[in-house]
Amino acid sequence: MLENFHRLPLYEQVKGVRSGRFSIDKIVRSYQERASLFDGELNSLLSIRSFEKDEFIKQCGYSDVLAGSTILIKDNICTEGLPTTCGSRMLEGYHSPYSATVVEKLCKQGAIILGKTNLDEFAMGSSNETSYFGPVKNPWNKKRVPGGSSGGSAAAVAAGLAGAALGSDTGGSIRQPASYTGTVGLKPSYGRVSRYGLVAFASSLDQIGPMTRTVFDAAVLLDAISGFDLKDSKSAKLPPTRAAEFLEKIDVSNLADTAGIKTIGLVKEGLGEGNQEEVKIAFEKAVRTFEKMGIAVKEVSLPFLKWSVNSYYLIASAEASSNLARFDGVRYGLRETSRTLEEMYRKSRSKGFGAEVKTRIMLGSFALSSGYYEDFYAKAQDLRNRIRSDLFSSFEQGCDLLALPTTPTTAFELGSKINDPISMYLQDIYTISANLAGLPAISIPCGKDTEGMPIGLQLMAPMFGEEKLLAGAYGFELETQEWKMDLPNGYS
Amino acid sequence: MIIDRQVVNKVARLAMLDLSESEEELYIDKLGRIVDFVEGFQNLNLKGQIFEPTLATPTRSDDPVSDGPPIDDTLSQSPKFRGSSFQVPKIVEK
Repeated sequence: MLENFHRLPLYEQVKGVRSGRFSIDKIVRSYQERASLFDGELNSLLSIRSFEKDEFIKQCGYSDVLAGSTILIKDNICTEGLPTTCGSRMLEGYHSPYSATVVEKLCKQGAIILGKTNLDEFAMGSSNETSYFGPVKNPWNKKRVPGGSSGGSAAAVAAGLAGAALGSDTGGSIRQPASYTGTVGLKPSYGRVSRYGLVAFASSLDQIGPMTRTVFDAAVLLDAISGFDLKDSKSAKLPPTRAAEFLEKIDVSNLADTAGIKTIGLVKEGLGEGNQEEVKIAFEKAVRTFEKMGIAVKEVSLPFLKWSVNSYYLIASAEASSNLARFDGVRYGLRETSRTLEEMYRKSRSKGFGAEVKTRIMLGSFALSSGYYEDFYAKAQDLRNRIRSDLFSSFEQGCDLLALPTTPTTAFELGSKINDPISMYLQDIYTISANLAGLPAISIPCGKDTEGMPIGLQLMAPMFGEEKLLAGAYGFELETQEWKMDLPNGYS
Repeated sequence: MIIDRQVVNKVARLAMLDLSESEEELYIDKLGRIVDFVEGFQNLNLKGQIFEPTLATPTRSDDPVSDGPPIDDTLSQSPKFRGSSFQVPKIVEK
């Protein structure tokens, strides 16, 4: 009989393995069984690793830091031995000859990579509907989207198909799906985690981060994947974080003295008119929870937040148009037979990319082209600077963390926004600014709407302030236990 | 800003994409709506902002030579190769 490891936080499983109470074999088999039982309806996994008998036991010892932790990897992160498709026809069947730094780090610390997760094609989307391999369903309601672009990672973690997952976040792609699925999603500071082996979408915005079911697990995984890497030119020269150790030491009833969190800035623009009523109520309740914990709440204004979507879509698309130029049918991916080289490029790209990717590449080419560059790309960069300086001044004026909803609404119905790009892009309005400024941010569950769909609270911290960020989230999670480790109906 | 067939075909050419007639119609509409939305910021007064394209000053690191993945593993992912080279259609005609 299989044990219910999925009801335990990842780190409890690790502790059980290290103390000899749990067998790695049983944990892996239990999750494999759940994946085969549930993933047919969710479509969250694009590949599942098959193991030779006891293979992983030979690979990793019982005393490793992450011994027995079962991890899924978003399918835009290169993983030797498994396909890396980016959810695209362009890379169907592609096997990277090397692993991303984050994957190597996890494996060296004893983690077991169970498989790869579905995503919006090349991470471009907010609903996981643009994947060539079909949409992912939200385990809380299979008529709803799980969010995107890390929708497969979020759905799989929410349904208990692995101990945790990695996602990537360019404009909210970890935090928005975490919010829609009642999980924890952390986007680290730009430069904190190596991007080597992450298939580039928008290089000045991309970050890899953990998706988990508790804040402590997010800290454990951040510690495992962070740290300077020579292979990423923007990697910060900092050692790996020691966030889990920090969380173990703090007193959540006194975050001011033990974690340096005295004031939280309530972002006024986060209470926008476009918010679903239940999101507004849950957010206000979350703010009152912090007040009850003895933390001062101060209203701050980010007047340029509402323009973040405009800035983001131009900058991200411009960078994507350059990054995705490499997919030309020469070295990897789909190739269409043609008489000339240029015709081969055009035919291969036209067949290999889906509609959303083509839209973004063309938008980026437009913003960078002669005659439009100054009015679009350069202005978007000016706006980015303005948004960044607004955020930095909030911290300089005494806020230790900033709070705002992760998304304006809970998960929407599949198909309801796919033909309305603006409405889809606006789902990212509260998450994008952290990417534009390079700041760390986390989404944690803070309630449910009347239909039982999860609501997320977002916290942001100053650059490289992950320990403080996680401490705030950890304190909130302990105060509001009702959503922690919550499993959707049918997945318990 | 009007996004018409001419603009869509120009950016498709820059992006190395061939568009069918129905795709042209699709992107005239979709890109038109997106550009209409994003250019809402044109009237903002952003004077005094300094254009800083990068987040931090680039730092130089030692860049030691190291071996990449085995060449056969890399070539095996190419749609067509011969020996140790990727093969593409002929570029120079006789």
